[in-house]
Amino acid sequence: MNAGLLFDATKCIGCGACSAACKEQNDLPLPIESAPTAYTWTTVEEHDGTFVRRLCMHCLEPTCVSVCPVGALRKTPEGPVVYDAKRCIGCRYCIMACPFGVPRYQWDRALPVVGKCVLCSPRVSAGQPTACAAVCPTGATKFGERPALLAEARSRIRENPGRYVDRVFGAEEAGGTSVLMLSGVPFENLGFRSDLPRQSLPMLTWQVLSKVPDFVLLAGALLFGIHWITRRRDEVGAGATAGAAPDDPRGDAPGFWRRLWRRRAS
Amino acid sequence: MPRIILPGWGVREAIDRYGGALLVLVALALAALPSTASTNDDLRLPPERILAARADSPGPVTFRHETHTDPSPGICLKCHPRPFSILGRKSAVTHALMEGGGACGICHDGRASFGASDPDACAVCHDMEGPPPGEGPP
Repeated sequence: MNAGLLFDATKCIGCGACSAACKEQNDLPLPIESAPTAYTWTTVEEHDGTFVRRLCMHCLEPTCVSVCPVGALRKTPEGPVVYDAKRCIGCRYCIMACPFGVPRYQWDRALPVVGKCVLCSPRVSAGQPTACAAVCPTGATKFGERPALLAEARSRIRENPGRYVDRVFGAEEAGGTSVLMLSGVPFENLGFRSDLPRQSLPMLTWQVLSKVPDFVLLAGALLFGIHWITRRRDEVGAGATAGAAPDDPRGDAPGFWRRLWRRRAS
Repeated sequence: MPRIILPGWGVREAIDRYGGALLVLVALALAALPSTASTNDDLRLPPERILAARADSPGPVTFRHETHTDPSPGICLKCHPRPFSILGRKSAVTHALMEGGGACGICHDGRASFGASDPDACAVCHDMEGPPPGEGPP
């Protein structure tokens, strides 16, 4: 199962059923705030008459998961990016890393944790659609398998090119997301960043970090080699100035490397 | 600038002849506009919900979303997730609750809408000809 959501902004009437269902499903305290917080995981925003949902996009390769130092965030094989508050140390690195600005912090608590949409992971695991998709009265939010939703999104654009901008948001953004969106106006006008890369963001750092072990080994071998050569040079130099002193120039107990050198030289 | 009036006619004459037809066309266009601009062509409201009558009730109540909503932003949040569950969980609905400003009473308070205990309004909600009290579904 590769669960995902397809949100069609041209169908959304902003009724708020998704927000209400999210609150109830996840036992979040009221009220429903106007922008997402640690307690309101999805909201509907209006941008010049177009309603657009704000929720976790559930990246295929999530930056929040890649930066979390304790593994509190995890991309499940079913699709949701889930969060384990018991593991979280509250570093808020995920909040800084998310390209969609999704994870929020419980700033009002003494021992805060992060809050974000988890794509109704327990429901999805049980084979049910997310709560927001189950209650949507206009079909603006649709639950399904991501490949099927992506195909449907493309066919909706093909069949009704005047209704949509020619872009399935989430098909490639940040390496692809499990939540896909369609709109009749450019996504930049709906409050999304215009500088989202097409490749996955963890790939950027992985290109460097994956080479660290090789680098450490190589640099270590190189530095040891230089050290060994200079020491040997000192030894030979000391032997030459001492004149006829074929024995160990530094003491009675020749070291392992020195004995090896002598054996090879003889 | 060329005048697009048929030769021999003045402006006043043209309006006299075609003004009526033009008015009808404009009216038709305006009437057609909201339906083409509408985004909720496939609006599916939840099915009606029948609240079984308790022993002391004058009859069962059928709740319909059609008569309680309009497609305005945030409309669902007036009743969901509180006082009524949106995920179909059971919510208590009693007159005692309503009179305390809970359940239907958040709107049916005699100000926003007719009062839940308005003695003239029983039949608006209750099916008075339904099964007699106490014999409805539990």
